[in-house]
Amino acid sequence: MTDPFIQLEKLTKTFPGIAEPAVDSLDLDVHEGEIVMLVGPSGCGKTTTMKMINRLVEPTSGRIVIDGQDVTDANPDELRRSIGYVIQQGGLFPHMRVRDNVAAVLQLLKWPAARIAPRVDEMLDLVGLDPSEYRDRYPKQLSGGQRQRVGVARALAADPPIMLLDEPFGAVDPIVREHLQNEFLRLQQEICKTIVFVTHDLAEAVKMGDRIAIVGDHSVVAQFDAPARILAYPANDFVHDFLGENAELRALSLIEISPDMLSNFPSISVARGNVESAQVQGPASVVLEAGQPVGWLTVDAGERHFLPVKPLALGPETTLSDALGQMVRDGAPAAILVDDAGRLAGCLEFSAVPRAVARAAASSSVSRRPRTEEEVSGVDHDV
Amino acid sequence: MTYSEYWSYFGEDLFQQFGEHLTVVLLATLLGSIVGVATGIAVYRTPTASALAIRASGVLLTIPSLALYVLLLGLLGLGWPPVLTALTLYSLLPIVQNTIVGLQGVDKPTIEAAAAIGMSRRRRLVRVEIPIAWPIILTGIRVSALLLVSTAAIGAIVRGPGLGGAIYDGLNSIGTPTALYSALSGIGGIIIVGLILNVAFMVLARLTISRGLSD
Repeated sequence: MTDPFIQLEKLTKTFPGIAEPAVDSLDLDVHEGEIVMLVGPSGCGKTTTMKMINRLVEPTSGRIVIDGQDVTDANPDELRRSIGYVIQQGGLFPHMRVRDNVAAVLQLLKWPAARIAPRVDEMLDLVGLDPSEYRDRYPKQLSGGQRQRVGVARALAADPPIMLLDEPFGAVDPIVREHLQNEFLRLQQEICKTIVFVTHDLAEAVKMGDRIAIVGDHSVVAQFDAPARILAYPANDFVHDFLGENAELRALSLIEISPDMLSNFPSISVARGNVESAQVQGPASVVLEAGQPVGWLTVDAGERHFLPVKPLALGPETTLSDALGQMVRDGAPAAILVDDAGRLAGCLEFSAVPRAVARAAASSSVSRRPRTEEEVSGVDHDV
Repeated sequence: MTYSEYWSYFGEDLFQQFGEHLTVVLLATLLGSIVGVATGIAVYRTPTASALAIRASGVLLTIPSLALYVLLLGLLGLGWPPVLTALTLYSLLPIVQNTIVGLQGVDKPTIEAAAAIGMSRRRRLVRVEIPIAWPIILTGIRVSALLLVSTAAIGAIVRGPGLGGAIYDGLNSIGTPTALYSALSGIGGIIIVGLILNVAFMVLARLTISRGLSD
């Protein structure tokens, strides 16, 4: 296990005039290339904690060590130039065009102008904004989602090893938020930054985090672990209450469907266009049209029903949550999974779901499945 | 006497007074801007100091101009010095107040973002806070300038520069053929000065205010 990239040691912050510390002797470590989510109720001190990493808030006591160097007393302005920082709505400078916003850190670092322009375009491309269309716009001409992207571009421009994000997707509507989250995960796969991400939204924490720190009053860490394990084994009442009812359901979106979870159902093959002529074989059968599953044929009190279903492809991005969704949406007896070639790989029954969750939580190698190009290719860049 | 006859005698003087009027107003506005904006920048972070600065410059404005000119007469004599000084003092309130309000009104997250990027305090002020507050500051300067246009006229009481002289002469010689022409010329000239300044500030605003800030 390599040394942590960011180490917070006994970090404490007491604001003048207030007896209780906002952050009370916090110990936290973040490994290189991982996303650590700080999640907790409003006012628990998570944002204050994060702001101490780049010294926007000065710690009252304690140490901050980044990449082996104690930066507790280092020059804050210089420190911040090597840390990317993203806040809600991007915190863009309204009087500057997009290109000047993105170039802001680079200018501080005294990059020559000839290097800055192509870098700005590169960053805009990276966040999914067409440079020729967006580089000359002003922030007021952008939507909330676009401003957020520019904010991320600005934070990444100088290629800092660390990024701090403070509820960056909080100010946009849920659809845009999901797009931005997916794109951010895709981005992280390419750039592998060390990231500390503050949110009050548990769903976002579960989706985005490699590890989650559930934070309570005075920034006390109630539990710090991988999402699946926290969901399955909450450490105490506070965590349990914070996770809320049906926390286990959240774990479903984390667990990839593997072949050993599948079972076999009888199948009926028909020629293309001949679905109607299929002969019934049992209460429920998978109908294969030219070798590819197209749905279910069920018999209910003597009546045969054909239920068309779009099968799920077995792969890293297909989770128990997707399977359950298919069953609920289509009213199917089980979810149909196909392999790369579109052939029937098996069916996931409802009863297999709880078993799979229990096994995944107990295992020590739960990793987040990466989002693929196909999954985000439908992103609408005008949001 | 017709107006054109009057003009042939006094036109040249009027032009000179027109120029003086414009100059003294611009000069006083410039001096007032330097002092006022600097004061605003110095105090805007502290609520008590800000209130004090606004109160002090406000007090200056309440001193009737006539009284102030006469007071300064004793210190500075006649002509340009007392008028320029008085006008500069009068210009302070709108400028100081608008500078403070403009700077205090800059969005906190924007300033935080500037700090988070690694900008020093000074750089933040110059590159972010002042440009964003500039529309409000410029409005303060414009208001001051227009205020000064009419206040300068009263400077005639201490033989000051500008078109006040023409009005004053007119008032002093009521009954003579030129009295009315003098007064009206003075007033008309002042109105034109005001219009010119308005246009000048509009152009200045267009040139110096970022398009990202306008509504």
